[in-house]
Amino acid sequence: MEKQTEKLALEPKIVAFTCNWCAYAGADYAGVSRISYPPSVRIIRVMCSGRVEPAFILKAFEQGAWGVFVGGCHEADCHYKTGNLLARERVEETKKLLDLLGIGSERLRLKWVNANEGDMFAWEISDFVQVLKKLGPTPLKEITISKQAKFSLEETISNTEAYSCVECGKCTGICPVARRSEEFSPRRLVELALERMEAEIETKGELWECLTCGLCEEKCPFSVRFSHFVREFRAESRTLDGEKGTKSGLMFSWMRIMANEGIKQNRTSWTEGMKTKGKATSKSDIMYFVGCLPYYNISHSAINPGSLDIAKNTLSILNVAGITPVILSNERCCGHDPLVAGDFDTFEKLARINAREIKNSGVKRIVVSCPECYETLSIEYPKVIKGWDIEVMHISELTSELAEKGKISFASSNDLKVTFQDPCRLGRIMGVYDAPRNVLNSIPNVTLVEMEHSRNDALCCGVSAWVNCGATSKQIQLDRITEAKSTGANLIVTACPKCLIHFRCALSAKTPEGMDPEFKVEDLTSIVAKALADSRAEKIKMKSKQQKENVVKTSTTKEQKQAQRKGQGTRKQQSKKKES
Amino acid sequence: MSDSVMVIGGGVCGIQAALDLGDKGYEVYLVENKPSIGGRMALLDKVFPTNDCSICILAPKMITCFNHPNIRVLSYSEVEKLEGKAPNFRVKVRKRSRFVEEDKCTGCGACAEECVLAGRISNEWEEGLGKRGAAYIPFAQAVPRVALIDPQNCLRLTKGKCKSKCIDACMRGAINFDLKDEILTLEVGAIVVATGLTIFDPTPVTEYGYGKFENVIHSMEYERLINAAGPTGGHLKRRSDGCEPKRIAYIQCVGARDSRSGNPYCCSVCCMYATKDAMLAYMHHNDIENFIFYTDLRAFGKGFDEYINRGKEEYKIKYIRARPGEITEVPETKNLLIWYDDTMSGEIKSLEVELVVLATAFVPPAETNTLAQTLGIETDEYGFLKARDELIAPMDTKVPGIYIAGACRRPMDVTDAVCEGGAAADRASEFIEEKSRKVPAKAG
Repeated sequence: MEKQTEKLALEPKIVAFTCNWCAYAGADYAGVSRISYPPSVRIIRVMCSGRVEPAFILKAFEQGAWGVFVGGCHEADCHYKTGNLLARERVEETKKLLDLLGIGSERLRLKWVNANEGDMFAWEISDFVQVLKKLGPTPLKEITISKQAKFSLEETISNTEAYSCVECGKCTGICPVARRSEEFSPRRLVELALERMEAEIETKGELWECLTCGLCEEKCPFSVRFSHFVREFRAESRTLDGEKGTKSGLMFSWMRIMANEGIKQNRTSWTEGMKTKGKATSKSDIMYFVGCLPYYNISHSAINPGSLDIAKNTLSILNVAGITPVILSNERCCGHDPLVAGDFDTFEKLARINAREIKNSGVKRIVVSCPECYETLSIEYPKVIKGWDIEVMHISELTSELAEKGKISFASSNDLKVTFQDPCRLGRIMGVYDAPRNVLNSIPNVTLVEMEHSRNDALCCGVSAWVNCGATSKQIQLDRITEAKSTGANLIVTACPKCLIHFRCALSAKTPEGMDPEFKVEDLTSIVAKALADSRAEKIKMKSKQQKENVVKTSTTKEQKQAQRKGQGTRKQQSKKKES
Repeated sequence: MSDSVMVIGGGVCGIQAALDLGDKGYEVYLVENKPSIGGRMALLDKVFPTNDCSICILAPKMITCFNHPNIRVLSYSEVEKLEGKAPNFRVKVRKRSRFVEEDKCTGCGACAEECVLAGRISNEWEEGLGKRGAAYIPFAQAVPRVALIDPQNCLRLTKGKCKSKCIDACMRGAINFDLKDEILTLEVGAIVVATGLTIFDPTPVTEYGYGKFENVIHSMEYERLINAAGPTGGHLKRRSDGCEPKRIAYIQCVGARDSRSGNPYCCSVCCMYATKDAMLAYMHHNDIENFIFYTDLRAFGKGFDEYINRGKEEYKIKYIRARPGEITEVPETKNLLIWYDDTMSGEIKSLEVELVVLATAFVPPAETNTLAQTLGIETDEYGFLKARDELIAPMDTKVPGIYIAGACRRPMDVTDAVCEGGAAADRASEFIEEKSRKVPAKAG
């Protein structure tokens, strides 16, 4: 008996998603034809292979699968015309994610199986089992959601100062979600808590509509910390019925997978492909915490998310300033999204791994390009990691500091009129409003205009921590884009990878606001990297000009120096002009 | 030992204290920072709950005070230094130069009319809604009614060059640019501090758009607009187009009961004065619709609830229980959209109005802290002056012989300020009486 269970544990587990019309029928045909194949496969019938989301695949791995098989109709055979082609795209994308996570793309197979190709199905599974036996099980351990209550109602009320609420409704009056969705009212949620009706809150979908953008928190006259209130109630809600409210399983899956000690990610390969400098090291005082950027670049490839551009540009800014940062190959998600979605367990696991790795590398200072990492590393880590005292700063702060000290200089060949989107975490939570503006203002030919809602009044990009994205989110994004356009700018600059993704998504939508090819959104780092490159090009041009002149008449070096000084002077004047 | 008393602050509270002490036979110095006594109350249109004309009640007191044989009004003056202990205080007072000889000036206003800058300087007495010259008289009922020349703006005093028409205009030859500040050293036995309040600047409450939207004003601006002696002659005019608004919203607790602004306390009078303001608007034109956005209606005094009920019934004021989230402007009309959560129905609504009046918090004037340090008395966490014991010695401070009264202690209405003025005057006179007695009043 014991031997048998041991043997079973060593037997590969495969989850096969098969489409109703072809692959499932093929598997069925294998059965009725009595073709034998290893019993390691669990078949899940879906109507079309196109239905298989990357989230399903990752979830299967998370729950202990050694391999995942996706079966669909042959090309041009799909009963929904192109479902199988979509499936192929999705599987390709998921393979990249699996490689990145270190699980390995060879553990995921896509095969077209016809209804009469029972032998083919059997052969395919037998072969897959052979391969998986060689590979062995994945290093993932299934994470069970704790049913233990994390916070009592009284704790949440006191942690978030909800007791001081007088139900004045200011939160709800300013909430961007409440204004666009009748379902949602922050005041009502707090009221329910104060009336001790926690079950009402935990089971309602309302709890998952909050963006945790912190606008209500910023304006609350009684300092109720509503976004923390939401986090804690989400944690409670989880103990009732798992992931009820989180609709984006994919990101949460990879974050949970990253909370496994054993995985070996391939997350630093992007530094190799960089055109210009891309110097990183494994031991230094300063670290660049990259976060989930390599992952978003794959998961949102359809809308050109620009996530890796942020990473590359950040690294090149650091390199230009003479900094060679540590980039850890074993870095994990910072844990922000699980935390906001109420998954405190995953957050803590991620925090512990990151803290250990960072401490081991001897880092004293961390640079982040994502405001969410900024919040988590500087505010949330000290709460769970004893003795966490590492200084964290956002790349906009560092760039502003470097520019002020004259360690980097900018030039810009073309005029840009931009407006700045304050990311919630960078602005309202970390209080950084001036640094990104100082950076933009110090780039020649860049004019910064402010939106009606800016700084601590800024509107959210519409989505938070991948918890929600629906009609309300879209409306918020489009309204914000309209507001940005009304400033006369043709570019939104933001300083958060999430804002960038969400606005790019909105701009790719087929709406009047989205269909404007002249209007763009960029991350601050890409504007800075461009200005640095322009400045470098200008210097090289000047040098070669100087050299030529030197050859012609060597005696007039004094005049040249004066001319050079003059040139610098005008640049300074330009930037001054802009500031005024 | 001196048996004179100094009253610092010439608002209604300080005036009351000075009058009470003067009537008892004490020699009183009433020190007022501004060029005229009268304080906040002199600028109001009407006062609740009787809707009496504010200046009509106050002006006789101001004049009685100024003409009182025992009271010396030191306007445009400030306390610089305090030496000694009660009852032998020596107070140094700087009497700032008006550049006008007070005994010669009749207050005719000719200099103000002829000043080359007339109508070009923002008038702080009108909350910046009106203009004045560098030579001016603060307001019509100013006491003392003596002109002054503002040294920050006067061309002669700042640039040394001016036609100085004021000199020619003055038939009494009162203008004298050589006048210097005077330092008076006064010996007093006790001091009453009644420096009053100022209002919270609502600009940092960015969601309400004060300073950004022309038709969002604060309640002191409203008082001046609706005041017949004010810059618009009592016509309620919008800043954007000069039209009289037909729909007005009053937003309560702006910067008050607001821990973010640092003023978590209730200002205790705004519910009442907003109702008064709305009544006044309705009295001007009975087709005006008034909306008051309140957090909690705190009409706590005798006759106050009845006043609110009159507002609802006779003046058709609509009370909405909500603290609005945000105000946005309609660009074409410059009307304002108030976004709020109607906490009675739970609906998120927006209301379009033509004028928004913000009831801003009462805060201690910026100078209170310096004065407290000069006098060696304490302030509380909000900057109000602190009593020795809020419950049983509310007029006393830690320093024997120094008493506090009125809105420098906490936000309060006119009635309370008058009461406290009288109470502090009594405490001061008792103190001097006791000190001058040879045998102590009670043993041990």
